Parts: sequence; structure tokens; C-alpha cells
Amino acid sequence: MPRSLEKVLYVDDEPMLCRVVKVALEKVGGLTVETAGSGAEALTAIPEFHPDLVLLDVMMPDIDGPETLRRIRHTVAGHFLPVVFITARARKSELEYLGPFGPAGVITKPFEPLDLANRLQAIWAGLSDNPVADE
Amino acid sequence: MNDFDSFLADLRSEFRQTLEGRMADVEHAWSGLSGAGGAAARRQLILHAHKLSGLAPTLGFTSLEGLADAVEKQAEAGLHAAALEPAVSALLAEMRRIGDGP
Repeated sequence: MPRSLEKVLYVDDEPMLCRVVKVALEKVGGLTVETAGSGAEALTAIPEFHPDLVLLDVMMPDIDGPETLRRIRHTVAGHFLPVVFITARARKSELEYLGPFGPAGVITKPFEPLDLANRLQAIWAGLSDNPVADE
Repeated sequence: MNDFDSFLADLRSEFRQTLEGRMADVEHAWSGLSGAGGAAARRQLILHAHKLSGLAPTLGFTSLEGLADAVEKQAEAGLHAAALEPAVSALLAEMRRIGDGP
């Protein structure tokens, strides 16, 4: 894992949120961001883009976030890749439901765009103490 | 106004222009609850409401969050179309108000 967070893949089927996150993380956070509009696109993008971290929407049509993460974990490029869920579901029971899927963190929507990079950096900093667990 | 504020202002304007299509999506899914494809329509309604409750407040349209969340929760709870009507109507009315705004 690189010492600093530099490349983020954001996965969300909502194009407007993709644009918000890309601009927020690049202009404000100084990160390099690629976006994917589905879990399938993410699985293609990961071995090409080699992100340091994936920010993954939970509720998407076709392949949802947890299933996308499960498939990511079964790829060479994604086996140990930190994945952070982003979701509008903030209820405690629902966050606990996501736990077994091995996310490095969970960010709830709505989020403050200008604060998003700091939140990802904080999760990234915590990973050195708690590396992503194998399934 | 800095660059990011300007970007968000443009995106808010663009979001308003998408509301007519998003309203049609919500109405279509809601009206399909009683039909043969009711389960698929319910999933679509939940998804449309869920996306609104995440996107709208991020762009500053906070009034849509609770209304969309109510539709999502009631749809998830299995309420039938007639029981969902008040929540769906309230959401559509607010979407229409925002879409008609400046």
C-alpha cells in the first residue's frame, strides 16, 4: 500500500454524484479520481487504473455495492484493495449489515463535498493500523 | 463565489432540469406497484427514492431528503400503492416546486 492516498475509483450509477465527487476530491483534495457507473465497470477499471482505494455506492441496479465488493475480493488486483462504502442508508442495523463484507469504512450520504477528501484521508490513515482483512 | 461553488451552482441548475424525468420515473414505478410486475416496480421505486435522498441534499436540496426517505422506507415496508400515495404525492409536489423554481 502506498504511503499516501493518491488514486481513488468512485463507483456510483448516479452521474451527477460522480461529477461532484470527482471535482471535490480532485480540486479540493488533490487526488486523482476515475469514476465507474456500475459494479461491472468497476471490475474492469480496477486492473487498469490501479486505485489506492475504491469508494463504492451501496445501492446500485444490477450489481449492488456488497456484491461488487465480493467480486472485487475475488480478483488479483482487488483482493486486498481498500474499499469504502458510501450510502444514504445511515441506520445502525444497515451499517452493521455491511460489516461482514469487509469495507475499510462507511461514509453516509448526504455528505459535505468539501469535507469528503478529509474523511477519506482519515480512513486511509487508519488502514495502517487495521489492514483490510482477507475474506 | 469560488470555482467549486460555481460548479455546484451549475450542477444544481442541471439537477432542476432532470427533475421532470426523475418525477416520471417515480410515478411510473409507483403506478406499476399494482400490476403484474409489482415486485420489479417496487425495487425501482425504492431505488429512485434512494438516489434522490442521497443526491438532492448533497446539492443543497435538503427538503427532498426526508420526503424521498419516507417513500423509500414505506416502499421497503411493503405498503401497497394506495397507502404509498400520500408520501409519493408529497415527494412529487416538492420535486415539481423545485423544478419550477429559478
